[in-house]
Amino acid sequence: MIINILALNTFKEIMRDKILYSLIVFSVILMGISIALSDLSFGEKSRITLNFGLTAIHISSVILSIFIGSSLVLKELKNRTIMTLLTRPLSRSTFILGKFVGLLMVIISLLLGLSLILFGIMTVMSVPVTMSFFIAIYGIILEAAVLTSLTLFFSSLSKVFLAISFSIGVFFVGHWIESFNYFVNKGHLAHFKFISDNLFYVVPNLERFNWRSDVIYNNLVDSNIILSASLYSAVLCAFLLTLSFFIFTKKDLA
Amino acid sequence: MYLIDIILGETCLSVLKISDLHKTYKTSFYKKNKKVLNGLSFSVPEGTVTGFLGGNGAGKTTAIKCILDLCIPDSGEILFFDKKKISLAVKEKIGFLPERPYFYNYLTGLEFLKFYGKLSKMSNQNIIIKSTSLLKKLDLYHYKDQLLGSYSKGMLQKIGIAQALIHDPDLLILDEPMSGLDPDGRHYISEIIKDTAKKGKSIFFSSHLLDDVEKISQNLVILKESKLLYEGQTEELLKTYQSGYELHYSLNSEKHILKLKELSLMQSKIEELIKKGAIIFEFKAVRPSLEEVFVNMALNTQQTHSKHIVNK
Ligand SMILES: Nc1ncnc2c1ncn2[C@@H]1O[C@H](COP(=O)(O)OP(=O)(O)O)[C@@H](O)[C@H]1O
Ligand SMILES: [Mg+2]
Repeated sequence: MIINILALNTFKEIMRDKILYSLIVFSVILMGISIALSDLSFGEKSRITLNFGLTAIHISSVILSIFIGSSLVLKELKNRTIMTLLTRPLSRSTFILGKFVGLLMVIISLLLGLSLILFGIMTVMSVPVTMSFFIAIYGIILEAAVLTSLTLFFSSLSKVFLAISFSIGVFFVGHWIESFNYFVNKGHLAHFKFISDNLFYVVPNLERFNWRSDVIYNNLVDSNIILSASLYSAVLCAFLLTLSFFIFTKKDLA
Repeated sequence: MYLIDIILGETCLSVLKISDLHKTYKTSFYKKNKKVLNGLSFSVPEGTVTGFLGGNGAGKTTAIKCILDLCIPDSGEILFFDKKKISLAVKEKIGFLPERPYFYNYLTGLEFLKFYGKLSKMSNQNIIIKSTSLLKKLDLYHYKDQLLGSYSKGMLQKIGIAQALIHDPDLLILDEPMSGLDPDGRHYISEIIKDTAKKGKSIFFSSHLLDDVEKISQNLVILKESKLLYEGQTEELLKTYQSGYELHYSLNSEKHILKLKELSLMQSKIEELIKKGAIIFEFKAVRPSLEEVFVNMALNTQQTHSKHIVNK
């Protein structure tokens, strides 16, 4: 109940923020470019449109999780609005959870909106919309949840700028782990074996949520893979949010 | 702490009881840690207005933050109502206005009150009734649909009071509610404090000016350099540290001001003046400033002037 109220207020907060609209404009421009490019290349039309469209959606959700997530809690501390909020009957962990759910709601709404636009573009260009398209969007949501809780965790430890930097770092490493491991296991980088074996414990493997190329090649992702990725995302979120609660509960506010 | 009971001559419950509170701020690696509260103990009796006095930097805001669980004290005990630690149930019965309040600039005045009302588990209907009456009472009704980002400092202070009162709390805690306001604003806030007290609520509010506090609070808690300097009735303190009396009169169409320390001496002087045909147009007790009280207290502490002056 309290979570709802907090999440709805966070939703309102972000919806009234200018960043969101710049982001929407950015994504729409990226999709526009994809149409322009696809006109130049015969036969590859659907591939380019989908590729650009899904990338635009993915980047928007990542930017939203990291850039808004990093300041959601710290802004309340800086402006001292947290002082009256936390004297209401709610706990500090409820407060963090409300921010998390609220931002995730915004991200999901944004993804739905952008998907609808991409959907329209695809229909106009008579590219078929398949089930794998929705699966790819679902994967983007799972990743956004992980990135949001990660950024909230970093922001409970440090300043906005550092939280953004750390999250972006984890984002890149998290997408690169799989190829790194691939190369190591192929024997090209054998002396990095120790690192590659243990990196999974430190940095989440974000490629597990990447089903975007499956849309392009029209593969239907196995439901077991989707299920285990969902579980992976849920466990990571629970772990990171619990850590944030723990740190935040022992903090002096302002 | 049974001092309050002794002073008031009756047993009374405290809505807030603080014992041996310590707080150190950890600054940076190279600087020394800063001890801001050093064994602070006091209590706020039920149904009274208690002023929390201290110069700038004395540690009032820090104490209030510890009380409200916004800061984690090093040690000490803070109990509310019937000896309860802070909890969601306790927080339901507390209203708080922070120092220099600033609120969500993306919400309108009315949305803000609704948000806080809902968090305090009020029904929608109740929220509408209470927020409308508060907004009207505080002269903010006209601005209820404007974003808080466009509110002036005084308006923010008022909407801050409204959020602190909307759920009808039993204990109202205000941090420097009058500072930065014009005389009208100050008057306004004192009226609200008095009104709230009339409803049987307890109020604890901080200020760095004795002037703001003495007229409306029965009790005083005075803090100096992270320690308790005085806890007790306002009257008692003012009587002890009264700087004297002032008489404004005119004699032979010339204006004079007479300042005397003793009331009996002043009275005989007045009789004398009236016989001479002087016109008396003002007579008042001169209240000491907080500074004067501090100075006098420092002089008096060696003699342990009265039993309720605590100085550790
Ligand atoms: N977050 C903080 N970190 C370090 N020192 C602080 C912090 N907040 C307050 N202080 C210091 O603690 C002392 C008491 O401050 P405060 O409680 O705000 O006093 P008051 O409200 O009585 O003016 C001041 O010297 C202030 O500089
Ligand atoms: Mg202060």
